[in-house]
Amino acid sequence: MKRTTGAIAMAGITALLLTACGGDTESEDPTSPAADEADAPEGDDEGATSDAGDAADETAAGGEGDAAGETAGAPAASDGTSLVIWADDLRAAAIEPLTETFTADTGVEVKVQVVAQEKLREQFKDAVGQGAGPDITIGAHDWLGELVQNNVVAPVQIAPDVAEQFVPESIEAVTFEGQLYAVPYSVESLALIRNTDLAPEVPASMEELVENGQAMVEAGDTELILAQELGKEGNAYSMYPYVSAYGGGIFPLLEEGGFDGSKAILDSPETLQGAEKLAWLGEVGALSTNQDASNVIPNFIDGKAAYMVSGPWAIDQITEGGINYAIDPIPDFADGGETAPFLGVQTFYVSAESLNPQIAQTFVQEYVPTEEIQVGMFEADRRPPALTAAAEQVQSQDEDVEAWSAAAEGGTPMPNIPQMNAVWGPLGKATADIVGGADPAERMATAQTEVASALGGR
Amino acid sequence: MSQAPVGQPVATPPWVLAVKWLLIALTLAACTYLAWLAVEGGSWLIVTVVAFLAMSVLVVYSTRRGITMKYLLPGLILLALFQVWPIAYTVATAFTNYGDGHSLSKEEAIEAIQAQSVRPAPDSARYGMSVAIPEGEEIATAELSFLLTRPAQEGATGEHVVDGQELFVGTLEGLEPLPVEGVTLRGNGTIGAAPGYRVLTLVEANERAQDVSAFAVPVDGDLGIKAATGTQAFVGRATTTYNPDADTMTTLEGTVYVARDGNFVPQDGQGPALPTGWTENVGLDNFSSIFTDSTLRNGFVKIFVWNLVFPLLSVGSTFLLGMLLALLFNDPRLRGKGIYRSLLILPYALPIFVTAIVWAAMFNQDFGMINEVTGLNIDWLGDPWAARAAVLITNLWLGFPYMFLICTGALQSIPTDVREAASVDGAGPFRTLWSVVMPLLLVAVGPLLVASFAFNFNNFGLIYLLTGGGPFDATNSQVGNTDLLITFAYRLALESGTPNIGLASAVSIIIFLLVGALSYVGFRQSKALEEVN
Amino acid sequence: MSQPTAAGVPGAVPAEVPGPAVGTVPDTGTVRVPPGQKPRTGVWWRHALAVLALVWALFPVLFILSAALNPAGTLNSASPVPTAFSFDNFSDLFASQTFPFWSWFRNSLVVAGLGTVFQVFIGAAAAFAFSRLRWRGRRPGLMALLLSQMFPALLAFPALYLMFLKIGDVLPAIGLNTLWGLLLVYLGGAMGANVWLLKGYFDTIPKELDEAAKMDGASHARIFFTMTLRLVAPILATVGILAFVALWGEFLLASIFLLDQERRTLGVGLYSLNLADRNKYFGMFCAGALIASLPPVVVYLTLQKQLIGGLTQGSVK
Repeated sequence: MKRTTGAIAMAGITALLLTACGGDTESEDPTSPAADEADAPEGDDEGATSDAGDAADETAAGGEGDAAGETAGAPAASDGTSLVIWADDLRAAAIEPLTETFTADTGVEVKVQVVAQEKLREQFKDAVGQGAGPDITIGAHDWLGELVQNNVVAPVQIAPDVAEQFVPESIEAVTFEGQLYAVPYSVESLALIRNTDLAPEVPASMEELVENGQAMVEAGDTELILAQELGKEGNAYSMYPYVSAYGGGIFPLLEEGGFDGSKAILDSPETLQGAEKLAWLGEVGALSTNQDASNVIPNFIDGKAAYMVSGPWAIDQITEGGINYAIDPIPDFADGGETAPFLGVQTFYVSAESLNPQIAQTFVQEYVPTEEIQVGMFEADRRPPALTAAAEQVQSQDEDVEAWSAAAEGGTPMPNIPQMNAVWGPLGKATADIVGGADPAERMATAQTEVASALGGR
Repeated sequence: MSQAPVGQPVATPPWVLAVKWLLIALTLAACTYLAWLAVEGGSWLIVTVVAFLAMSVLVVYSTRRGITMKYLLPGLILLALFQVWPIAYTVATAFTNYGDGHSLSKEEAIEAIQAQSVRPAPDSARYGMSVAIPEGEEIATAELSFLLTRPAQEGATGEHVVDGQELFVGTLEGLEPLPVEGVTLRGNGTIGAAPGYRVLTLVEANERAQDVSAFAVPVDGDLGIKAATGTQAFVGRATTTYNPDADTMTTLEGTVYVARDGNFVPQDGQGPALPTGWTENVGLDNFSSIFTDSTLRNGFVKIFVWNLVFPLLSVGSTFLLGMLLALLFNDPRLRGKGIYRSLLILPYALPIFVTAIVWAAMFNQDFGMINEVTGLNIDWLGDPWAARAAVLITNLWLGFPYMFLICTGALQSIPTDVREAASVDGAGPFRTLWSVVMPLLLVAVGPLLVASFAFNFNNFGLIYLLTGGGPFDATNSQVGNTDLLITFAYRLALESGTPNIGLASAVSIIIFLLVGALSYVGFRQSKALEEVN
Repeated sequence: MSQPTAAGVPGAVPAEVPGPAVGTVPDTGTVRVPPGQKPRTGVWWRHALAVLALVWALFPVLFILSAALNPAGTLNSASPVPTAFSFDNFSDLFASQTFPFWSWFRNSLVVAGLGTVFQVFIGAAAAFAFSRLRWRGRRPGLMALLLSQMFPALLAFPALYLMFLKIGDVLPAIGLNTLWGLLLVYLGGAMGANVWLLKGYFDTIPKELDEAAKMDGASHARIFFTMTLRLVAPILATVGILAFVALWGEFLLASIFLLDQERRTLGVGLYSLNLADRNKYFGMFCAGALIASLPPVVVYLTLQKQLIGGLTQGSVK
């Protein structure tokens, strides 16, 4: 390597030099640092999540936007260097204390801002698109394609040996067109949640579940065979395990991983076989478009259903409602159809416009893959950690975790390609119609046509 | 007011003048401060706007002329800045393809595509990295280098290996071994100190963050060592490169992408476009697609019809109920009117996002109260006609208190003689109501009815929260049976598979023209403008 | 105000009354029983109908109350009768660190309160100009104001977002995520929103009063501040309550504007509380919504007398 052939190499890596995370043009914009500083003091007045030592920060928040605001906070960050993380209410409370190690190691203060859950994705996209926003945001993996389209997330060049420590599906979930864009911390999926007082036995198949459910309804013990979200507009996420049970699905899988977003397979014979099962579940009354987010969990808690298909978010309410429950994988169909759910992966994204790119990358690549953070996040949202070691650690504390992991087995991450946005609506509405009695083949064909025309029109 | 001679102004009290000039001075001072901040921030647009504000305040309030402007200026300034400007901006967007995947400039998109394409070379080494500058130089200006470490080959020793780590220094020229003398390693295997260098901490290096991001140590052709984090580096290459002469993107495999319609698409037409595109002017394409795309066009007509029917029926039904209730309570003998009235306005006082959720739950076919109580089994939210009825019922509930308030007021003003006269004349109560009270009321509340129509024409909240525009027909998940134009445009802009803000802006312009024309006609009918000449 | 009161002449009840003789006749407050007729048969049927109206108005509210009192916080959509009584949801809401309800409440009071005051003042000033001053372009001006209210404002939100993001770079105090910025946007519509209603009422104040004051040598400002504003107090109250209720319930724009929990208004806060974690907080949400409905009712009760007079005359002329 003694060669000083810089000139030659330079030509080859011009592109590399250009690739300053897409943020270097922004550095010439004199307004951007101001934006960052304006955000900084605001992170502090989350009375919600901060604890002692906030007195200084309170004053900083009072003098918002002026110079006094920037210098408040940890002494190590007296030059104003700080990371801003966006998260929803639940996760903001969880991540804030977990950043202490990072601050102690690096002297970089971390400020966590709460953003409403339903607004986070849009706000992040809009803010970063305008050169503002946080350095890091916590978000779901299926936002990825859309975020890349608008160039608001930076690639994460995680070390291969670190990537290997994660549940493989979680790494797959944050990979888009062969590039890694986020570091995962939890994997969630739907599962069968059973009221153990009403239904002590695990049903061996969907058919058995329906049979037991019908018996309970006839006996007057319950009112519903199964509680599961669908709604008038349908729900492709909730119905996916049935639709994909025979190898069908939404997009064909690519050999190199990921999905081929250029064509949908909603009308493939395998998908149709699943849709038939959907129709059957609707016919026997196990699924209904009248079951939606507003009544599924309440019905289960009121004992109106012995079985519910839902996710980890339901557990708090079930516990509060005093229901004895057990978690199992969604039963397969008796003829071998495997009901594997979609996986949702929660991740840390780095903004493409971060003014502190190395610091942000250090946090997500070197601190997020630690048991401290992964277990800490688990304690807040009860989703099984994505880091294998952390998942093993919490399994000993919480028996649900093992059950959730089992339920996730065989599941595929929700497609993170932007084309998926064109599918949720049409496929969701098709599932509602099929459960409501529409002919599966015809209805899936219509959905396919609609998706295809949306994809073609891009 | 004493005997001031005609035409001679009453002397204004000094304190009033003082307050006036104090206010003017304060405004100017505030403007100066704002302008100074804006200069600091480098935003010349804001400087110009603030200067213009200051000028107009000075001109309008410090002279005796232009009395009208004295009353209109505050409102006009706010109107121009926060209503007219956003509208103008939205109108401009309608002529572009702005939306998801088309939110960058072309230059930004080209840069982004290349940045996203940087991949680690297969089986390449991962380095521990420290950012360093020559000793004694300023961080802000010094030439950067990466001090790199990587696990040495087994058994390797020598002047570049310490503690099993092989040491390098990487510059823009290339990678060279670093002698171990004087070098100390940190716990994580990176170099903590080296003679002749000042190793920067994470926070110090952050001053040069963009330079560090752009920094690449060339190794082996097009490969380079780049920072992965603040302490780690990887060997990678850009797998997609831009050719400015041909305006094409080429991947390592040799696929060529050409620029077309705001995206790089494969030259051979096979396969999808590169995900990141850019904003382009598209002229009238958005408008023409509303009228030519069959889905949009059919949807538009269908939605438009409902968009006329819904506010008409809503205004009619809420007015009728509000009026009848107002008549009911318009009897002085009735006790407890205050309590009745305050309870009746609760539907108006509760936030709509609460009540809409409750109504949606009550309309649920299986679990809702409405079917339960009436014994019906109507699929309120799933059947197109039932859903429209549900929307109207809910809006009747939400809207009648407003009409009740208005009619209660207006009824007070109808002279009692009028009704008496009608009675004396032998007209029954209904005839009195129909031919005497109603016409008077309608004249009185006419402009408010038009305003109510305009509000309901764009009643986004109700539809969005109650039905989401649904139910939808099997063939088209973009056009719902209870959609209004505004919920339809919102779906196009934000919630469809291909969010397209440009198209949604075009729809909003059409909505604007339609509702404007309708309201204009409505006002002409109500003769409200005749007073103005 | 010299419309013929044709309807007052016995035997001349017209099918259409030309120009109502309203606004000048005070509500007598007593019932005059038409001669030759017996008094109507009491008011019990009015009470009966009133109770029916209350049932219609309140039964959905009972669902909210029932969910707020239900410790599990679930909506029992089939019956509004509470299945359990507890104030847990209220105390949870007040104690919540994550959802600072009282900060939201305070923010809403500030935004809706100040917004109402400024909207009324700006509107009144504009109405004065349109009603009292002679200048060219009044008619197109009024029409343009009306039209500016017709734009589907929701679709201009991205532009507002962008604008305030840039403003915030330079003037953080009024940028995104500040109540002041939000207030400014709300005031953008101040002139257009109510000028029609206000102008109508201003027109009913006899111009002779102005003329007389002018003869006395009073300046236009003196007339406006010391005379006109007093005379139009009822319509100011009316516009005040309409503006207050509208600002109090606004959440679409505010949810784009306000990020920090501490800086949210009630509308934004409650809306996101409902959506957070899949209906987990529905009970707290309903409890908060019930409390949120109180200020509009209080404002209404305070201004009730004024309100009735204001709507009457303003809308007529």
